[in-house]
Amino acid sequence: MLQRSVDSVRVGAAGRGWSIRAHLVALALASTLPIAIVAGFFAYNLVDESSRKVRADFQSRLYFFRNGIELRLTNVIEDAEVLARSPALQQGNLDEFRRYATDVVQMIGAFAVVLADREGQQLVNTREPANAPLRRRQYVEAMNRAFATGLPQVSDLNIATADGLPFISIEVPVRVGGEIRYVIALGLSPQYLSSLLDEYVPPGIIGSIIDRKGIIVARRPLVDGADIVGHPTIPAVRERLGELAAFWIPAKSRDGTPTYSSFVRSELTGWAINLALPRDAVDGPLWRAGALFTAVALFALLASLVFARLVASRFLRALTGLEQHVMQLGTERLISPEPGPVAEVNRMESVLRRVGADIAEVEEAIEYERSLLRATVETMPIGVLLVTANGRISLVNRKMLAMCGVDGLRSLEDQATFAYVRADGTRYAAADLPIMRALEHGETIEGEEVQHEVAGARRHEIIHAAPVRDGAGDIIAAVSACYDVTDDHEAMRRQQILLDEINHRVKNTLATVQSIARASLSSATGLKDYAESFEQRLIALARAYNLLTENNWEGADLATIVRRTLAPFASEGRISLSGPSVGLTPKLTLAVSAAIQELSTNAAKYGALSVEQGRVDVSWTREDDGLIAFRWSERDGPVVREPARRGFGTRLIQDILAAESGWTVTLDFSPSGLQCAMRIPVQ
Amino acid sequence: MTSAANDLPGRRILVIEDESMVMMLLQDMLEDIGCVIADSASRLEEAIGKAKSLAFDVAILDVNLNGERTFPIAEVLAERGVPFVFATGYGVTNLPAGFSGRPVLQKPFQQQELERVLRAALA
Repeated sequence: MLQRSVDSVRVGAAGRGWSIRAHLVALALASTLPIAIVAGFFAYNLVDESSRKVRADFQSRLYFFRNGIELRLTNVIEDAEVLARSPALQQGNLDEFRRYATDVVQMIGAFAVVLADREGQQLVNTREPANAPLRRRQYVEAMNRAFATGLPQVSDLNIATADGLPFISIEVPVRVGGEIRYVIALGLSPQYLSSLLDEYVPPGIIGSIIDRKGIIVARRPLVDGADIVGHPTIPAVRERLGELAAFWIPAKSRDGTPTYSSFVRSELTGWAINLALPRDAVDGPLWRAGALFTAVALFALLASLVFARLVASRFLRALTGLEQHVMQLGTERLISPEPGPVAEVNRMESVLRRVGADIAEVEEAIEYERSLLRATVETMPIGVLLVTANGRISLVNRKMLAMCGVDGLRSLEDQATFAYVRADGTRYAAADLPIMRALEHGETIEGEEVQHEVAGARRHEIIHAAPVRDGAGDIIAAVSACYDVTDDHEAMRRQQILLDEINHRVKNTLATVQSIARASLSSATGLKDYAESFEQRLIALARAYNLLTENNWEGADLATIVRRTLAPFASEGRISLSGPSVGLTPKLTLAVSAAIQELSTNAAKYGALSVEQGRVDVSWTREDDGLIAFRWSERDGPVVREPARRGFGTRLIQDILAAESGWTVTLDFSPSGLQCAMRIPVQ
Repeated sequence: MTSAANDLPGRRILVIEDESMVMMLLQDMLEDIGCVIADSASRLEEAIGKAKSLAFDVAILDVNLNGERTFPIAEVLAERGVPFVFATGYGVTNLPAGFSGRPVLQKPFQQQELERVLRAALA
C-alpha cells in the first residue's frame, strides 16, 4: 500500500511546484537584485551629479573665460581711451600723437594704432612710416559703430591689406571739443588673444573666440600644428550663433572628436566665446561608471549565485537524499540514512527511519494475522468463499474448491462450477447465488438448501451468506459458507429405513413368537410341557437372531446355523457336519434354523439324540441348479415309528418350509433313523 | 353377528407373506376361523402371478416381501376388484395414497382382529 502511495506521487504530483534548485536561484536573485537596483540608482545619481558638476564647472569656466577676454580687451580699450584723451590728439598734434601711439603699441604689444576720421581716412598709422601717404581704411564696420554709438567697439576678424595677416581692432571714439571727431583703432594680432586662450583653455578642452561673422579669431589647441584663425567655426556652432548662449551642443571637432560645444556671447565684443569638451569627458565617466557598476553588479550577482550554489548544493544534497529515502520507504521500508548537512532534514530522516520500521512492523503483524486467518480458513471443513465488489473472487479455501470439484475459481459467472439447483429444479443464475444476493442487496442468508451438480453427481448443500460492511456501513464484500449434507441426509435416510426395518422385524418377531406359542399348544401334553417346548423354541429363535446380529443382519453361514442350533442337544462327537460354506439370507437363516431346531428337538425327544449311542449326520452340497441339497440323517437311535399325529415340527418342516417357493422337503421316517432331505434355493 | 355376505367359513384366502412363522400363524388362525387357504406366496413375482390368475375370495397381503414393497400386487388386486387386506409390521402411515382406506392388519394380531379385518374387506 505504501508503494502505491509513493508511485502515485511519482506519477501525479511530479512537476508541480518549483524545484529546490529553482527556489535557491530565486533566493539568490531576490537577495541581490534589490541591492543591485538600489546601488544602480545611487550610482546613477552619483554619475548624474558628477556629470552635472562637470557641466557646471565647465559653464563657470566658460563664463570665466569670457570675462577674462573681456577684461583683457577692456584693458586695451582703456589704454586706447587714454590715447584718445591724449593732449596731443586733443590739440591736433598728430606727429606727437603718433609718437605717443607708437609707444603705446609697443607697450601693449599691439599690432598698430590707427587714427581715422569719419570717412575712414587714416590720419595716423603706426605701421606706416611717418608722413607716408595714408589710405582710407578698408574695414570700417566697427569704426562706424563707434562713431554711431559713441562707445568703444571691437571689430570682427579682418585681414590686413598690407601683409595679409589677420587682426582685430578696438575702435575707440575720440571726442574733441564735445564732438566725436576721430576714432582710434587699436589693431591686435589674434595672438594677443590666443595667449589668453592658453591661460583659460586647459588641455583636453577646445576653446575658441568667434567673431560676429562666425569666423574664428583664436583657437586652442592648434589643429595639426596650425592656427586656424580666419576659418569659419564648425557648422554646429555657427548655426546657433544668433543665440545669446548655447550649452552642450553635440558637435564634432575638426579632428573628428565628438564634443559638447558651449558658447556665451560677449556683449562687449559681440563675439561668441566657445569652449568645447570632448563628449567622452562628460559621457565617458557616466558610461564608465555604468560599465563599472554593471560589472560590479554582475560580479556580485555571480558571486552571490556561486555562493548560493555552494550553500544550495548542501541543501540540495540533503533534500535529494531525503526524497530518495522517502521513495525507498515505498519499496524497502527500511532506510539507514547518514546525517547530512541540514539539521531539519536530519530530523526528518530519523523520523522516516522510525516510520519505516513501524510500517515494516505493522505489515509483518498484518501478514502474520493474515496467514493465521488464511490457515484457519483453509483448514475449516466448510467451504468458504469471499467476494468483493463486482463479484470478484477474493478468497476461496481448499474445501470450497473440493466441493466445486475444481483447482481454482475465477468467476462466479462460471455456470459449470456453480451449477446450483433449487428444490423445485430451477437453476440459479449467477445473480441469484446467495453470495451475490448478500453482496448486492445486503441480504443475510441462513441455511439455504441447494442441490449442487458436481462431477456428474448431485450433492445436497447448505449455504449461508452474509455481507461484509466497512466502518461507514457500506458493503465492501460478501462471504459465504457452504457445507455438504448429502452424506448426512443419506445417513438419516438409511437410519430411517433401518428404524422401519427394525419396526418391521420386531413386529414380525412378535408374530413369530405368537406363532410359536400357538403351534406349541397343539403338541403339548400339559402346561409344563407346553411351557418347556415354548421356551425352547423361543430360545432357539433368540439364538438365531443372535447369529444374525453378529453378522449385522447380512445373513449367516449354513454350517454355523446347524452347529449352533444343534449344540444344546448333543455334544460334538455325536454330530457330524459336512458341506461347503454357504451364506444364507436372514430369512433363510431363520427358516433353516427353525427347521434344524424342530429336527433337533424331535431327535432329542424321540430320535437318535434320545440315546447315548445315537448319531446325527448333517451334510449339504451345492447342486448344479444353484440349490443346496441338505441332508439330515439319524442312526443308531431307537426304532422310528411313523407318528400318528403330525407335530408342529413335522408340520413346519413339511408344510411351511415346503411352501417356501423353491424348497422341497422330504421326511422319511425310516426305522433305522429319521431322514430329512431338503432342497433350498440360495441366491 | 355376521351377515351372509361377509360370512367367513369356507372363504378361500390367498396369503402373501415371506416370514414362515407368520405364514404358519396365519394358516393356523384361518383354519380355526374355518377359511380355506387357496394358496400362498412368499416372493413378489410369484405373488403377482397368483394374484392375477388364481380364484379366491380375499387376499392377505404383507406390505413388504424381502425388502420389496408389495404395492404392485395391491394394484393388481384392486384392478381385479378382489378384496384384500394389508398385513404390516410398519405403521399405518406407510400406505400409498390410493390405498389409504384399505383395511390393515397390524402384526402381531389376534384372531378376532383377523376376522374383523376380513369381514371388513368382504363388506
